[in-house]
Amino acid sequence: MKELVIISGKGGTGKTCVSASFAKLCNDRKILVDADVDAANLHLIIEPSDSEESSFTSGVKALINKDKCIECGLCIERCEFDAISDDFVVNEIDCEGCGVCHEFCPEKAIDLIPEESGKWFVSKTDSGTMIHAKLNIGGENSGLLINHLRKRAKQEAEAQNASYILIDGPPGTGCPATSSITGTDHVLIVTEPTKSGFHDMIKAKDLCDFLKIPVMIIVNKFDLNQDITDQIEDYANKSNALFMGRIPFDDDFPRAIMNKKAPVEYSSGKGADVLKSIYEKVIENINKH
Amino acid sequence: MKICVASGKGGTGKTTVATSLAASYGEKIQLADCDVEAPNASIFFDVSEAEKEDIFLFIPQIDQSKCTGCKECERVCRYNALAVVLNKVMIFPTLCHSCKGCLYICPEKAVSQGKKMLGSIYSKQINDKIKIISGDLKTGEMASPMLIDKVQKKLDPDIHSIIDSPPGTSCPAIAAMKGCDYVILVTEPTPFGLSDLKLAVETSRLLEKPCGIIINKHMEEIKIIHEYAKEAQVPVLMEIPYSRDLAVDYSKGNLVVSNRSGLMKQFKNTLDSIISENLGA
Repeated sequence: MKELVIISGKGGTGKTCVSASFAKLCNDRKILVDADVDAANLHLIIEPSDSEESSFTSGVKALINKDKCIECGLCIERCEFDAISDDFVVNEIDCEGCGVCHEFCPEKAIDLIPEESGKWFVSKTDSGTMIHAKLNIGGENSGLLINHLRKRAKQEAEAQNASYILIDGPPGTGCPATSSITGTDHVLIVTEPTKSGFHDMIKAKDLCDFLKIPVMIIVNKFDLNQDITDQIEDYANKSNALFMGRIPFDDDFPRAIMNKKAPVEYSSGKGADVLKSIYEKVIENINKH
Repeated sequence: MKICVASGKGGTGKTTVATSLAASYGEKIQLADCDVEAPNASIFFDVSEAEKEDIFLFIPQIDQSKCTGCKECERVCRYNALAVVLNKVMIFPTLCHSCKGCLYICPEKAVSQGKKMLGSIYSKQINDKIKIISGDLKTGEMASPMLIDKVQKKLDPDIHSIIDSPPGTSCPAIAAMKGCDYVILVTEPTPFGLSDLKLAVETSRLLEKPCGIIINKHMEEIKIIHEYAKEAQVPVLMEIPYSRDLAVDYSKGNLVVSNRSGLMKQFKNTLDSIISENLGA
């Protein structure tokens, strides 16, 4: 069973477009994961049904019991996150749930209350089982939630004897991106030929290097700026990444998304054709290693 | 006044809006790039010779000669950043949240202040109007909210600021948004844009921040954002037309308002109204 994670660094380069297209192109049994837990979109293209919903509880928030509190101020002094106000109320948004206030309160006046940080779902789709989530607004521990989704996807893949786990990853290079790729064998970076896209692609590639994960790179909307596309390909070749291809700017792509379809099922134009051949190359490469 | 440019979905045009607002304002303004995992605002200005400051966070440092292996540090750490193995404390710096619980709990005073680098902050006065302050998270580090806080602390409260926020609705986006007085939500007229815009509106409401929408890649015939905005009672502040030319300029790292005086005027008017309507509110 092979796991492929699609990330980008910069947001909006086309991760979900590519993920949904790969899901549609893959005829083998697979498990889909949407690891962009705070702005999930895969379910808008690949519609889930019969979702089995579970609550994700992780971490705690401090709560000061006013009856016991003697207002000594030790909690305020020791809170590294400035989450306790001068009148001894914990700001839930700032509280990291580290438990320092609870540990050191001389009156044992501070409780730690478990927090639901989101919900996660196992759903049926016409492209196989999809595991996805919805982090609560301002929810903490998106990294842990992503770990959880990946673990669950592995179990599901084993149970169904699936060949692939396909993960639509989050943007950025911090906690969620790191959690979505740690320990995987295959990362595909989808970038765009803009200075910003190139810059953030390098940050994402650096993260993969740091975690010792081999990288494949594709450029979306390559003809927007051919020069930068060439620079990206050159960078890929020099930095030991596999350059897998260039997707042209194609009006059918936004149209497909407007119609809630993957580009490859909506269009038979040039962009969709290229996406198909990139898919073949990516799968071939994954199966070599 | 601090104005946050946020979005929910990535790649909708936050940086385009943030840089354009700063460049169009015409008076003293600060532009803070708080998308520290993928900072791009600096690409649009000449930031050569920017002042660089490395940002460090607490991690425990253990004096093994004093450590008795009592495991109190391991017990108090809720992030599994310390483990006692064969009477020796092992530290996992990337898991550490710098809460200092271990420092306070150690009965032998074997834990002292160590540090790890979280990232860097670059600052530069671009011209007599614009100052840019940009956070850049170090590869492999995860605590972006802490770096975002540090970037915001660098802002002069007497000068208006534009904050370029990270995407999403979780802790990094909250960290960028929470100290602001107004939130501009940049979206695009697609089902993805709309779905994430709804989450972003919910986020600014949770934080009790007034907000307005800028529609990027606007097409006259597509009304989904306007319909939602009306229903949710959020004002549409501005529309940026769908244009390949604009995208090409952006791709080269050019400010999109540079050769578009009409667009520049629109950005200036938008910012002027936000400031006059919300200042001191």
